[in-house]
Amino acid sequence: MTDFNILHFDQLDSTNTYAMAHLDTLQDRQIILSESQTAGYGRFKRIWNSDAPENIFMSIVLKPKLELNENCPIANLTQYMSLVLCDIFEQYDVHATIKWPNDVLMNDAKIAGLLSEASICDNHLKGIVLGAGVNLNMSADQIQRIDQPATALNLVTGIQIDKDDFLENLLEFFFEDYESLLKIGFPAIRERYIQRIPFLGKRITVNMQDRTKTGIAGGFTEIGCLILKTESEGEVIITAGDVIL
Amino acid sequence: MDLNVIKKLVKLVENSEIDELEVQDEGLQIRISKGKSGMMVSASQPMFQIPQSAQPAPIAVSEPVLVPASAGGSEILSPMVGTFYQAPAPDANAFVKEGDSIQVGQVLCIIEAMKLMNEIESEVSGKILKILVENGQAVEFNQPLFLIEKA
Repeated sequence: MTDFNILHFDQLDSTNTYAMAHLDTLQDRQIILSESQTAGYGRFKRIWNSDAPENIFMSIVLKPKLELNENCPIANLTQYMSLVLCDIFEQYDVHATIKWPNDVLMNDAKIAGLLSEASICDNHLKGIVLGAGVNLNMSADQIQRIDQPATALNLVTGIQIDKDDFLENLLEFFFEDYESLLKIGFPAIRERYIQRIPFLGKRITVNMQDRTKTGIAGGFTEIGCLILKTESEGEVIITAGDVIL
Repeated sequence: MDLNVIKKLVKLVENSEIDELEVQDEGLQIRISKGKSGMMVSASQPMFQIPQSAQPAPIAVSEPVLVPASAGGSEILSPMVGTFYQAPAPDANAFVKEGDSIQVGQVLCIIEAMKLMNEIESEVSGKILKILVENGQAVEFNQPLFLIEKA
């Protein structure tokens, strides 16, 4: 994988933690890869199971020169990455779906999770760390120890997945349309994204820390936020939350 | 919100049957009310004055309802649309609380937009005078988050 600048570790606390701690010195498009993580995490520091070395634990450091404004596309990078993952899974003849904003599911079980972090000071974007955990090769036992419905690509396809091939594809696909996503934002992926969202038009609940909202998933705003049609408050725009199907 | 918009709003209230109109736009809150003494415009922030000569009707500009940021503090604004969190996780300690001293580069909060967790660092050192939004609240681009007294 000569095209990409990869920093490879046997073990880290988490690739995101490492990248955020070294954000000032890491280059744009630096990839941080670890065979395992001792403290992998997702949203709100929820544990991401990271002991299967044939899975992907990766962070991409991005330092685009962008002005921060109400349409800034940096929040759409994980949505874009979730689509890239779906496209790669198609090469294995597997159809994946997306749970807004960016969980990748197969048969309603999670196969990949994305969490990005950014550092902003004085309206200046210092950098973004796009973290991805992808379950490529796991045993049924390992899957059962995860506290939510989960799966791995080898279990769905019945074959061992070559991690290096997968990773190279992932990075190539990601950087292919990365620039156009930054230029155009969510509209660049809107149509393809919607096709991967089976819950549109259905009744869903969204958990938001101290409260929940229930309604019909109505669609997405121009910047990719979820529009929820509720009975009590009418249309509500959700910028962050966990969708419960 | 520019002055012409406010003028139009004043006219709207004046010529209508409503007595009071409250408008909020990009952190600026304006109340226009019709009283015996004429039209009244009050704004939460920032402080501004409407030139009376430019108005066909008598206009009285009242004292601002809230202390404006310009009265000795500076504001940290939200760099994006998202959800405001005071702490990295629901059960974790808040990054900062009112009265805390802060340094340049210190993380003050997280603004989440679709699982992009944006750590917002302070561009100044000083003291947190007021936290202007609630934990878990949706915020707009450029919405004031913190009022800071510069050191």
